[in-house]
Amino acid sequence: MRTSYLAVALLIASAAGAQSSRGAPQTRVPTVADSALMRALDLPSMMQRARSAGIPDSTLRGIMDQMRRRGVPVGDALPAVELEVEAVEQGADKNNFGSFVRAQVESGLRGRELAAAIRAEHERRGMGPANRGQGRGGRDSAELRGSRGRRDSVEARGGRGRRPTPDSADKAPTRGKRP
Amino acid sequence: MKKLLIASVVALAACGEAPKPETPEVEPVSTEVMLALSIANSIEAHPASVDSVLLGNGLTRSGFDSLLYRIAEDSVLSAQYTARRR
Repeated sequence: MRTSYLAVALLIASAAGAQSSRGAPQTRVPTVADSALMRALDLPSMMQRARSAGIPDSTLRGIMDQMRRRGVPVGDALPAVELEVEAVEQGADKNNFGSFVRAQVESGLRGRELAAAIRAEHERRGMGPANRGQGRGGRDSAELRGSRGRRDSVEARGGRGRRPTPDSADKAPTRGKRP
Repeated sequence: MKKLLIASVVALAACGEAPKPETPEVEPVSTEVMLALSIANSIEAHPASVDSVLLGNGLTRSGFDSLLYRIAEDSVLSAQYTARRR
């Protein structure tokens, strides 16, 4: 009797196991790369915002082309472009659009390092969450884009000559802000 | 009587020309934009299945990156994409 109960219990357990392995949908926790890709869905909209801010189309095409050729994932591109668009919206020179990001990309920063450089630059320009709304006019835009500042930010991270990280899927989350 | 007949005919003829209903011009949307929008909507609906969504549309992550870059650098395509993402 006890044996038959055990057999029935085993049968039910095995049936339940088979059900879950076959019928369950493919669910997993979204990775950091997934989250970055989801934010990057707004890249074309960010570029429209840049055009509305008066940044020349040729400049925008140039920076997109450079990022694509350099293999920058779109997940990294959005926060980088956003940084530059916000700077122009706050009064920075349109002709310097993309200079910071171009320098970072050219120096080989990708993924976590690029995100960290952008975050640091956000903070430096007073565009971080703590300073949101106070950035306008808080810092001279010419100073923000000075070559010394760019060189410092690259060298501080040892970014000069650094090769792109092969594991772009494992990059740190970048802070996304919606317009 | 003849004048009345002619007036009636003219009036009827005038009434016969019913105003044509104005059909709103539908702006053609690029197939690239349509594809990107379809993928974007699917990814947002199933954030844990990004790779499956891309695979289902015949794209890899780098392929989708290229598609978004192409749309982003083109002002017309970006406008189409942005208008439909709202």
